[in-house]
Amino acid sequence: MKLAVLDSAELSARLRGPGLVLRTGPVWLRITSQLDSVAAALASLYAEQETLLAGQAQPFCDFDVRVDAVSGPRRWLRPQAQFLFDALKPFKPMALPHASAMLEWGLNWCVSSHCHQYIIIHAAVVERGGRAMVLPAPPGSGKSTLCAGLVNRGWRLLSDELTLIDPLSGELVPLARPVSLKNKSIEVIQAFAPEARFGPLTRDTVKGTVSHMRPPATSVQRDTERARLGWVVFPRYRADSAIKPMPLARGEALMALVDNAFNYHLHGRQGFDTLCDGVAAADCLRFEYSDLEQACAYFTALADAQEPLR
Amino acid sequence: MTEALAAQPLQWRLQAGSPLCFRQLDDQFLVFNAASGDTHLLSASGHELLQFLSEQEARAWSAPALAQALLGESEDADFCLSLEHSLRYFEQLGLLVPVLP
Repeated sequence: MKLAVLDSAELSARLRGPGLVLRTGPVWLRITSQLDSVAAALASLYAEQETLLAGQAQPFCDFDVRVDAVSGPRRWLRPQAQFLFDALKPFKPMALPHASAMLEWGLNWCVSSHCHQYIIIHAAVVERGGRAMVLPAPPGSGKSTLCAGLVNRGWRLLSDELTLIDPLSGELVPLARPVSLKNKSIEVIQAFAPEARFGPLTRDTVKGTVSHMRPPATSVQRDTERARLGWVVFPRYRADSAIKPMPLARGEALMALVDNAFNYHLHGRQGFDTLCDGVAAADCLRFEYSDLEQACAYFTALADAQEPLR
Repeated sequence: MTEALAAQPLQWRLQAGSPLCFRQLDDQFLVFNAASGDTHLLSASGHELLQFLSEQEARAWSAPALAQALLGESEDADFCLSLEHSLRYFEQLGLLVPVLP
């Protein structure tokens, strides 16, 4: 059952009571919160994700998390929110208006710190024709903007932040959660895809103003469908630049993936072989752009020029 | 005795029990060090050198001995110096360990 089926009263009751259980990609979450802002953000951003019918047997939940206001004098003086994972507090509290963004960041941390059955790379990943395009890049490079642009032009979102690679098969595993956009990127995507749905604007975070875009419904519906690595692209937004694809040697691309991995070292020889096999079969490039529509058209033409894998 | 030791060329050998795995992607070479879990991008000459060392019996090598084995002569001072730099670099990467003469 989709989360959108729950009315706001039922959603709040679950969040305030036993917890809202939902699945995103390969992980099940149980989320509790007394905060209306968290309920509203979940209703908006996770509308397409699977949740449980009332009374349905609960699966094992990989992550049991909670976001709530800090109690005590903090209720009155610059109120704060706290993220809890299995009752542990992995982060310092943040300003209360940042609660829903904190939940997203906390969930990223949960996956990147615990899902070691996968090789996890800090990169966006999208798919078309069965081939995945991995977009590793530092903050400010336009990675999430390009990712959001592509998924609003027919590509499937696998993740905007965490690329999960099955070390045994080399397949990329979807984790179609909300896409995090910052500052000017928010307006860029709102203008680029007026139909896209956004969560609340969270201002004055360490990253500036942040808003999350709801993953496209089709991406969530296909979030058990894996993909093969087709491209490794290192994007860079550069004002007034024409699109500029520059071939990148595969050895360098592999080293950059290793540098962006959270847990490559845990996978030993298997991780090395899996990444080498994947990159050997992929096209690798650096890519400069300023016009998002042109960039999306370039990659779509690139993907559509190849035979679909499935 | 100390002077005699100082006159001996430095030697290196592969880390014991750390098999190296090599892969070529296009014209670039990579090595995975199972002992450290680290992966390194190698130049073609660096790859050739490490590949040679990993194919030999476990033994220590000085730069002149390597020059002799690779080129059949050990008198080329520039080549020996270049080999020594490479061996020192591999030591920094944890791929080789120095051996006391």
